[in-house]
Amino acid sequence: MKEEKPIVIIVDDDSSMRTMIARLLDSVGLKSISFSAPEEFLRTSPPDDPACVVLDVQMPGLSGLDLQRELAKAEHQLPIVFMTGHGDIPMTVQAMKEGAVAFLTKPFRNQDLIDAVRQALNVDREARKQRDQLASLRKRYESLTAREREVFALVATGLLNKQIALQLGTTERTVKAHRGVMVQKMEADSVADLVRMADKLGVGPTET
Amino acid sequence: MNQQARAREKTTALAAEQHFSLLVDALPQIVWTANADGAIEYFNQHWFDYTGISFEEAHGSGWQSALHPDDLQIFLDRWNKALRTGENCEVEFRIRCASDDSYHWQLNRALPWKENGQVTKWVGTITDVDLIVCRDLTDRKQEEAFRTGQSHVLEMIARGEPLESVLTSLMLLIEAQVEEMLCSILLLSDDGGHVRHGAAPSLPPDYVKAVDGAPIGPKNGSCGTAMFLAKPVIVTDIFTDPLWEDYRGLAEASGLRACWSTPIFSGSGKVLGSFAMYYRQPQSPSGSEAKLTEVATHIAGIAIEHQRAEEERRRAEDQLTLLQVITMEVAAAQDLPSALKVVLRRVCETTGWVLAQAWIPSADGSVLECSQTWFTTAVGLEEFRLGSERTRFLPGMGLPGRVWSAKQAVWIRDVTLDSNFPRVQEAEGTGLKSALGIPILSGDRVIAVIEFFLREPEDEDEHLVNVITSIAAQLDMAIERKHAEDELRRTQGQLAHVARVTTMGELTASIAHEVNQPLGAIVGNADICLDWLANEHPDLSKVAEAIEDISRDGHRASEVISRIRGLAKKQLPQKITLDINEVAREAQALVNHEANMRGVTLLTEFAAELPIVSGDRVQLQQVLLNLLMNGMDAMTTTERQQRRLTISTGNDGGQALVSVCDCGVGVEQGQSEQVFKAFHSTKSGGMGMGLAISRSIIEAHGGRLWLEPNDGPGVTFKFTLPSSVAEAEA
Repeated sequence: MKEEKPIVIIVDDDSSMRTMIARLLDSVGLKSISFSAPEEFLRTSPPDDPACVVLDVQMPGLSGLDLQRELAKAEHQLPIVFMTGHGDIPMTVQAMKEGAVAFLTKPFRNQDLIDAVRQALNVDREARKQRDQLASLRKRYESLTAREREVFALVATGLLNKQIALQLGTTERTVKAHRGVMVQKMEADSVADLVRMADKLGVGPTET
Repeated sequence: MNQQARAREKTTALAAEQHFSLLVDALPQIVWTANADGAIEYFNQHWFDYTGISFEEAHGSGWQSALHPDDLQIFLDRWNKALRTGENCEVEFRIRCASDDSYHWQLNRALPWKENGQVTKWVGTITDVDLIVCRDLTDRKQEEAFRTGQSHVLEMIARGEPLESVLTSLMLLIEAQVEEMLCSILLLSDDGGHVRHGAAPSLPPDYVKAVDGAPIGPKNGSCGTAMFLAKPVIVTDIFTDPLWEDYRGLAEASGLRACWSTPIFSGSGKVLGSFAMYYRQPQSPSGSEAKLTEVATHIAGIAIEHQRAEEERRRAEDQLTLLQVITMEVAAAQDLPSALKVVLRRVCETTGWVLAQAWIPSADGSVLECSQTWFTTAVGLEEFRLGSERTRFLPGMGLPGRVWSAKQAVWIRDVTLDSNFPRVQEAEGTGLKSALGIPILSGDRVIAVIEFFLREPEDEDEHLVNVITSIAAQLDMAIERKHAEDELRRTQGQLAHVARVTTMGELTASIAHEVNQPLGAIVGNADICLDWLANEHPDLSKVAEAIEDISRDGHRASEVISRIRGLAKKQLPQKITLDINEVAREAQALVNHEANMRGVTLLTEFAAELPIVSGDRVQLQQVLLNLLMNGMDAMTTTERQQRRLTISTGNDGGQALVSVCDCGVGVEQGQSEQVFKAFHSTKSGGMGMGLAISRSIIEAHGGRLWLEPNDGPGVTFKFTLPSSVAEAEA
């Protein structure tokens, strides 16, 4: 497994704040990249490593909340730590509802920002793990034959081999053979494992 | 006829002949007779006296040698013609005069002596026409010179030459007409009681000096008496005439013996002065002087009246100028003391009074106190000034107290002789004599008393009192106007301040944010530094970098605050020279953040060369701020991408022009003026004072504020400010 290099994306129109936050993150060993406007940041490709956004709410052009909405549209949603000069409650509520990790009011305590950033990175790390797991699961699923997928779907619904064979109009032996290969391919430990996988893959029995 | 009768007849004839001869010889002209042929038979004695040619030599045609050779032929032609025709003959020719050996023109008149129609004899006279013509010519020349002289003097008057030179020329002219006669003119003083030197080019200077300022009266020499009686006074002998009793020694020392004086009258019959003819010996008028006297008094009267009118006009002009200058300066003065100072200085400088002081009633109104406002054109008056500073006057006491109670001007001819002048010792010490006190009234209340001093005792000058009194009235009006103006300015200032604070209220959020940004960075950086420094081996270069940032952000925050503090400050407008671009930039900085928040793009188009304007920075910023905020308000419902607000500056015919152009909702047709009315507001929560105050501010700066609808959406507010250079020249 390659070494993880988390990165913090700072978006603030105020250069002093950007510098200070970058300095702060650097002091705790966190890499950061700064943008003076949300538009600038949106033009860049998403990072490969765990990342989060430290975002100023009030900015000319697109505001922080606008950026949050834009990011939500993307497949890969980065966790956001909001900063505001004068946060009001409705704004905070809206931001949190839309998935903000933290909402800091300037001037904030440095530790609060570090904690929030770390939390956000963890969120992203977790999200990435989730995404990676799903991706490998999907890859395994895609290696199944059509018949094996049918068997997978039916096994995941909790049917017995006998019932599956009946449904598929084949023999119990054949089902057993498919099931064996399928379990191997899916690297499943148990039926419960398979059920979770099916749930994650969104695979359900095809009504016939 | 008997012997006796014949003898008697002969005796009678002889006597007649003798008598005739005596008579003819006594005539001052040449008399001659000639026979019918023209041969000379007789010349009277005058011929021989004149020509030096004896009868023997002159006999026949011998006389012709006396004639000028050029004239002889002309004469003989005429003479022969007369002999032929028997007619009268008048011919002019030149005859040599033996006494001066030169030819003189003579008129020769020959008359025929006829008996029974026959010419039997010629009689003639020869008259020296040169002498006649000459005398005539001299008289005429002199007459003409006299007339020319008069015209010359009149011209001098018309040209406005000084009275003394006019009168001196007149006196010289008159003196030239009569030998041994000296002339002078004395003027009657303004107070009507004394004589003043007018002109006396030929009288001894000591005498002239001694007479100057003498009183007039019934027994005051010729002139003083003539002016007093308004009648001519003829003194034929100064040594014996009682009118000269008091001046006899003076006249004697000056070698003057006779003096005939005639008063000079104005057109309205007022005595202006006198004209005098002096002789160095006793002398009575011969009658021929009457015409000269008439000319002299007439022209002198014109000259004096002209000069008096001129003086009057000039004084009126000077006083008008003084009034104007003082009015202007007083209007520009900031307060009563500085206005008083202007008045004291100007009056002293213009009138020649040497000291001026001002007195102000004490706070409780019980006494007059000497104010620190005073002026002097002289040195050595410190003692009096100190004496004044030490003194306080109760109503009615001293000069200021009297003016205070009387509420009117008081003139003292000589304070050292005044019984109610407590500062008499100081006045004596410093040589002050005349004093004038004038009250400055506000309504019925005396708010100050000003007093002026002179080193000479002068009689009351009504003109001066009137002028200073009207100046005092100006002062009062100016002070009252100043008060009203100050009050108005204060009220306007308060209103503008309220409006400014209101605008700032609207900006609070963005201002807070603007201050918060650097503060946030400062706090953050400071904490980082503390953490770093807690390490055993902190990286000091990194710490320094962070502290530099802290310092920079600290300055930034303080700049924002000072910008706002300027607006919030409550002060009277101060006009200074301004670069309008700079004012616009500052206003832009104030709303920059607000514009960001509202998604408004701020654009600027500043002209490079702008007229320098003079104005109050805060007020002009307020106007711009107001226009910018209005512009942003007008674009609330505008598409975010379209929210553009442009500030531009330019030159509009020598004036600075500032425009604020928005792309907002615009103004309804016909409402372009309505928006400038007080309490007109389209905003909820707006006071509706912003534009009204903005307009009054711009108008107070001599400019204009208006609005123009744009071709596209929105409106453009424009205002002009006059160039301070043009203003200064105007």
